[in-house]
Amino acid sequence: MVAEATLWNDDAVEVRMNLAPLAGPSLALQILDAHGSPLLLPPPPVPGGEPSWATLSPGQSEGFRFTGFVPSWTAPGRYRVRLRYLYRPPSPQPGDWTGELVSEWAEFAVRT
Amino acid sequence: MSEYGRPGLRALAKPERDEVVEPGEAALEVTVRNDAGEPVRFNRHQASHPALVLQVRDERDRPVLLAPPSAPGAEDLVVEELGPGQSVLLRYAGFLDRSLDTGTYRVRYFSPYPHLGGTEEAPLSTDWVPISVHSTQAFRPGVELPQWPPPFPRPPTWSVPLRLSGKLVDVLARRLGFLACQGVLEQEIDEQRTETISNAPPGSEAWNGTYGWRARFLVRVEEASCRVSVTIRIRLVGTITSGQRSAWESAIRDAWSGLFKVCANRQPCCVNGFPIHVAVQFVTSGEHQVVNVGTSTTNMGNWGATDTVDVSHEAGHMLGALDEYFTVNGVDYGLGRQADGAIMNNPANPPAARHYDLILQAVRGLTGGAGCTQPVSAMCG
Repeated sequence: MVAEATLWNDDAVEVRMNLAPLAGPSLALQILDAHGSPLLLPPPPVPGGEPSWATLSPGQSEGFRFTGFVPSWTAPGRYRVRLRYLYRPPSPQPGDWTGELVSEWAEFAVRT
Repeated sequence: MSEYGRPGLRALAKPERDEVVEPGEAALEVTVRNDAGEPVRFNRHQASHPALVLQVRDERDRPVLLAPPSAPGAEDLVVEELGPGQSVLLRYAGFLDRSLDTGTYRVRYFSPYPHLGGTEEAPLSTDWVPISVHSTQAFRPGVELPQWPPPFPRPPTWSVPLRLSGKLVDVLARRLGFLACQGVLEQEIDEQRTETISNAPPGSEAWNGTYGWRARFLVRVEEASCRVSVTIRIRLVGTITSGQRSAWESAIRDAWSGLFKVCANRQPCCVNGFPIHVAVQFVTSGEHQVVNVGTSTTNMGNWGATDTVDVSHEAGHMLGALDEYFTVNGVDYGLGRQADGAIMNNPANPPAARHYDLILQAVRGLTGGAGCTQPVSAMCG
């Protein structure tokens, strides 16, 4: 199963985004089951690696793909998933995007 | 009605006995017949290995793993011809392990390989046939075997097949095996793990949260080699070269093997303990974990094809180890990738004894002893 997300810069200025918070489904995706309970994902990658950045010009977008984001032991049922981007550094550089973004929920089902 | 595999080949399966049997007594007959007008090549010897051609499912449609086939030999290279109308009868017995639970299972012959009758597009397959088994335990734990007083002092508790929750290879052989230190115990492990990361510094807030997974592996204790072998079966999704796959295998084996051992109390066969060896085995079914191949390692289920560092950390999660950076379950570890951090903090460094705790717990459960984890260079006791 694959989740695809797109971030758009619909502002009039260029923004720079730290991509570490999007480094994998465990950091970037939030999943709820049919009862609204969170589906726990495996632990995220160890932080502290070389940071990567994306610069988005006004109107530009960046796509992200999360393959196999549903753990193999997930029980059958209906779920919903959304992207969550969270980045609030203590001393951001000018042009760095900071804050929290969430996407709309997207539904999917797991079958045996 | 059976299905055709390669053009003209048809297979039919039936249990040898209709009544309920003990798992080890279950037998199946498979007839492979050539209905084509020309000879068909067929490797009867390979087809006689149940693990190569039989599929077994339980009542919940879960695959039942069979014992591995014997090592291939020259006979496995012999391919014979089945003439038009000719058939071959294959008999499979003892393919169900004696530890199988009571119930009804279904079994079929299935192969997508040409020399075994099928193709990828048209595997040779029989219908599923039911086999009902009733599992019994030949010896109750703690009961003295009749006419078996050992000629020397009674063995310590460790070696007696008591209180074992895992699979016994053979009770009688194990008693004999103890006498000759040939005992083998193994068990599948499947444990839920959760961790809550908190106190991530500003800029890494995304790491805060609760995570969950299942630690799954096969643990095997071998007296003859004084060894604990841990196998993680992994099914890959995606494209990877054989070289990259081998690099993963080597990285994980080298990161986790030969560093620590289990010192099992009162174990006369291996007084200096059981060194722990960890290996990953790539499978197409019956996996413990699914790993998607990508460009970078982002969690336990997504590995970078060229990564040989972080995959060892992720294997640690598969073995039950928790992360050790920021605050995890209330314990403050500091930043990730510290120079002197162990593997669950810094993937480039080796593991610590605590990272084998689930393996140790499994060995204790199998052996009925206390035991502890020590560096391989340390003396047990």
